[in-house]
This record gives sequence, C-alpha cells and structure tokens, in this order.
Amino acid sequence: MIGLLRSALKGSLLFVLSSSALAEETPSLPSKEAIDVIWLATAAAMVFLMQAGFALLESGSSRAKNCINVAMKNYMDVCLGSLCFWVFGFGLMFGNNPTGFFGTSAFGVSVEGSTWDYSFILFQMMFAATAATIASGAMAERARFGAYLVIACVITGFIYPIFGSWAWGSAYEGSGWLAERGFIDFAGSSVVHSVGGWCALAAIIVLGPRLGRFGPEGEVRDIPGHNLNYVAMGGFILWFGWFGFNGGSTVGANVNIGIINLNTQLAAAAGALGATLLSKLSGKPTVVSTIVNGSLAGLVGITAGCASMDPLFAIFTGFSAGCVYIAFNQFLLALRLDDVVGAVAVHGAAGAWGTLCAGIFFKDDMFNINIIVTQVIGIGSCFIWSFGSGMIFFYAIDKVIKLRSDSLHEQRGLDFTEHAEVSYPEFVRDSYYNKTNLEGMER
Amino acid sequence: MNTTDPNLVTKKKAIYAGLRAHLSKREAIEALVMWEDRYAAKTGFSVRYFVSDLVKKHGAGKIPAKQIHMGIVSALSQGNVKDLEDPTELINSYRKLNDLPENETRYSLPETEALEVLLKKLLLAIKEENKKNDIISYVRSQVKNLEVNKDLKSEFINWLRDHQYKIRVAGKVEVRELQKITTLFYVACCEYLGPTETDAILAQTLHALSNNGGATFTHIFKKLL
Repeated sequence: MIGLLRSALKGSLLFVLSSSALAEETPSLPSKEAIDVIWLATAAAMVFLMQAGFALLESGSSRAKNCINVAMKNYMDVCLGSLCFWVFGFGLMFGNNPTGFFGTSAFGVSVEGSTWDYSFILFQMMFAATAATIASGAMAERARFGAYLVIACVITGFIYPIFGSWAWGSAYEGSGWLAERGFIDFAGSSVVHSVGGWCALAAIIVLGPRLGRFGPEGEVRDIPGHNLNYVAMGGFILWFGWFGFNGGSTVGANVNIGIINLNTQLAAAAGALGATLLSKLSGKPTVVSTIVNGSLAGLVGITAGCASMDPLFAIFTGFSAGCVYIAFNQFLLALRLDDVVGAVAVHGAAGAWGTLCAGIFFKDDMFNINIIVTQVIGIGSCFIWSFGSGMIFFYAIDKVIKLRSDSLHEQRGLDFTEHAEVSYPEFVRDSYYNKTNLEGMER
Repeated sequence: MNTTDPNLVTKKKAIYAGLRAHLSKREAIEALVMWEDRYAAKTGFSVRYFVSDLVKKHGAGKIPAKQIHMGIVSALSQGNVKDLEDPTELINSYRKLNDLPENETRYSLPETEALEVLLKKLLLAIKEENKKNDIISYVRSQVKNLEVNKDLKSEFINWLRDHQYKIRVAGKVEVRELQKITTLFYVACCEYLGPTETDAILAQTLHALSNNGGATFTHIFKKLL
C-alpha cells in the first residue's frame, strides 16, 4: 500500500514537474497585430517580386539592343518611386483629407505610427511602384532614361496617390469622395492598374511609335521581342506576386485570404483561356504574349472584386478580361499607337472592365444599378484624371527635357547609348554594336 | 578663298597677336599658313582643333598649348583689332620663299568617303527596287530639314541623284553632321522595310564591308553609326 502511495506521489510529482517544464518551453502566442504585420510585410515582399516579373516580361518583349535599358528602368523606378511615395505620395493618398480629393498629412517625414503602420506604408509603396512600372513597358525602346525616371516620380508622387486618395483614402487617416459613394476596388484594378495603364496611354501618345512600327500605308509591323522565355517567366512571377497583391490587400491576417487567392487563381487561368480562344477565333496564331498577357488581364480584372465575388463570377471576370485585352490591343493598333508590351490593354482596359465586373457581380447584391453607376463614375474619373494629368505632365516633360530618344540612339539601341552596355556580348556577333565596338564609340 | 576678306584679315590679325606672345615670328607665320590652309574656309572656327594641330606639328610639350589657346581666344574676343599687326604680307612672302601655293583648300575627309561607301552598300543590300526608290525619295524629301553644313547638304543631294557623284566639301565636316545623314537613311529604311529588316541589312552591310575592302573604314564607321 505504502509502496503504491509512494509510486503515485512520485508519478504526481513527475507530472507536476514535467508540466511546469512544458509550460516554460511553450512560447506565448503571437498577438493579432504581430500576425497582421507578418502577413502584410510578406505580401509587400511578394508585390516587390512583381517588379522582377515586369522586368523580365518587358525586357523579353524588347529587342536585344534595348533590353538592359528596360530592366534598368524597372529597377530605378522602384527605387525612385519608393522614395517619392514615402515623401509625398503616402500623405497625399492616406493623409487627413477634408476635401475628399487629396490628403494633407502623414507625409514621410511626419509619420509616427505603430508597427502595423510601417508595414502598411511598405505595402502601399509597392503598389505605387507597380503603378509606375506599368508605363515603362509601354514606352520601351524609345524613351530617354532620365525622362522616364521623372515620369516615374510624377506617377508615384502625384498622379497615383491623388486617385488613390479618392478611392482608398479612408483606409488610413483620410477619406475619399469615391470611397464615400461606395466605390468597390478591393486591391486596385482601377487604383493601381488602370492608373498605370492610362498613364502609359498618355506616354505612348506623347512619345510616338518606334521607328518603323507602322508602315507608310499604316500597316502594322511586328517587332519581335528578343527572349520569349523571359516573357513567360515574367508572367509566372507576376502571377505569383499577385497572391500577395490581392491577398495582402486585406491589410492583415484574415480568413478571407483563401477565397481572395482562389478567385485570383481562377481569373488568371480563365484570362489566358479567353485571350487564347479569341485570338484563335480571329484566325491568329497563339503567341506567347497573348497567353501571358491574357492571364495578366485576368489577374488585373479580378483585382477589384476578388474579395466580393463568387468563384464562378471570378472565372467570368477573368475570361472576359482576357477578351477585353485582345480587343483593346487591336483598337490601339488601329489608332497606330505603339504599346510594346500591351500594358494599356492589360492594365488600363482590363482594369476598367474588372472594376465594372466587381460592381455587377458584387456578392449578395448583384446587378444593383446604384453600385454599377458608382463603378462607372469611378472608372470614368480614373481615366479622366490619370490620362488627363498624364498628358499634361508628359507633354511638359517632353518639352523641357525631351522624352523621346534621338533616332541615332534608337538605331544603336538604348543599352549602348544610355548605359554603355551590351546585354549579350558573347552572342551578338553580327551586330555592329558589340562589345568590341563599344570602346571609343562617341555616344 | 579670298584671303583679303576683311573678316579673315581681322581674324588673322587676332590669331597672329595671340601666337606671337608665345612663338617666334617664323613659327607664328608657319602656324598662320596652316590656319589658312585648314581652317580659314570654315564658318565655325574651332581654336581647340587649331592648337591641337600646332601641338602635333611641334611635338607634345614643346609649345605652351594652353597659353596659346587662351592668347588666341582673348585676342579674338577683343573688339578693337585695328592697331594689331596685319601678317598678310609676311604670310605671302613666306609662301613665295618656300614655294608654297597661294592657298590650299582641303577637301573632304575619310569620313565623307566612308559615308558614301556605306550608303552605296546599304542600298545595294536592298533587293526590292521600288522600296529602294521609296527610301531615296524619303531621304530627299527630308534632307532639307537636316541641320548640316550647306555645302554638305547640296553635295549630298547631288549624290542622291547620282551615286557615282563624289561628295567634296571644303574645310572640315563635323562627324555629327555625317551621322545625321546616316541616321536619316536608317529612319527611311525603318519606314519602308521595318526595323527588324533594317537592322539585319545594316549588320549585313557592315559585315560585307569589313570583309571586302571596307576594313580600312572600320574605325570611321564607328563614328558614323
């Protein structure tokens, strides 16, 4: 009996000791704020990776003589864009906004926030850089490097944040006239993508087409990109980054991330399918850029409504956005506008379409005419502001510092004339602008 | 060239004054003879090139190039050159004594010759005759807008009419001016052939030229393209 009691006591003691030891080893659970910060910072990093996707897609779509220039533009616009957004953009977009048209506080130097605030600023900074980088692809192969960087600063520091404040200002300190009307744009089909796309449209109008893109009778000439594998790889990276772009727009850890990213995936897949089918039906071959841009159009399209749509409608939105991309690209070519990567159709037109779909298929209140009217107002105001201000700024930049490269530079290639670099020195043997001829060449 | 042109006399006086401060009388006259031969016909006179030619002639470090350059520039910028010595008589005597022609105008440079060779080859590489004609008509219509030396422009227009015509321009032609002509050709080719074909033809032309006698021009093509 005593033996039994002793062994029971021993066992209880061991249990108590091991329990307390376990209690000491178990770490305390992270707070909700910590989880939010972790998710937002991770999502920001994923959105940052989209810059690599853009760089690959755009440089692959350009000729070998301009591909470094395109990559450098992507690299530098994220650098300058981040700083401009920090100093001016964030305050204009999310600062105290008494008029509903632009913020007046929270400029870079005056931000004193919590840990979440810093993640939020970082996340929004990546969005601003994305809006700017959209224009670089459209303007590739004939825009001066310095002038493009000024454009990137104007977009990230002014054009993007002003429209952003109308639609998203209320997400932080401010408010916005569109947000107050109930405008739906969850992750930025209009706020990010259409703004970038319409700015790109203004830029290509001011710039003019590349030499020989259109023949004397108006015929369209293809100027093939130098590396289609880059284009496909860029598409994959952008697709991956979009899970952070849309998923991160919850701005915190949230159970809805699952449906948001499921819709994102379905729309991207449907977008590629839509673009491919329409291209096939119109008797054209299925080229890499059609498939990749189709999926991107699907992604852009679903960005506005990814949190407020059922998967079936996400598929419809993505599929139709892929078709919108094909149709709008043809429309631009008919106007003799040269968009190297199809950025205006993918981001501008598909973004506008996606924003409309977000209103039409708004969960629990589909086909509500009031919501649709608000969406149309938002899409229209986005176009008027982004395209209008873009035209004014880019025309002024062209007058003051010249936006377009000289014909001589276009002939030599911007890698050579702007950066004194040759992207493939070992392989470019039949081009005059090779590494051997680089030295001593007057630029 | 009329060496008694009042503007030239004024220039000559100023340059002589600038040179005399650092060179002997004979050296200064020799330098002025060179100036007459190479630079007097040029509308835009560059002191830098003239001094650089002097340095080449005398050898690096043998003459105070910087001071000469500054001396000439300051003499040229002086408003009143009436009181300066006119070296015309001295130059003429020097020419007679050394049995030199009265004045020698130097024509064309290897760059202009290279330009002709390049353009001829480029046009040869275009197989379709109608496109070739379109390109030439385009260049002809645009050449009047080119900001280049008037003589070069009219010589180039003559060359467009007849490719056997020799482009000869008095004085020094700036390479940038020749570049503008090659660029105009490139733009015309892009317009009628498309950029991809144009780049291919240009690469093919340069390759052919460097393999078939054009190798001597290779370093000049670097400047022109």
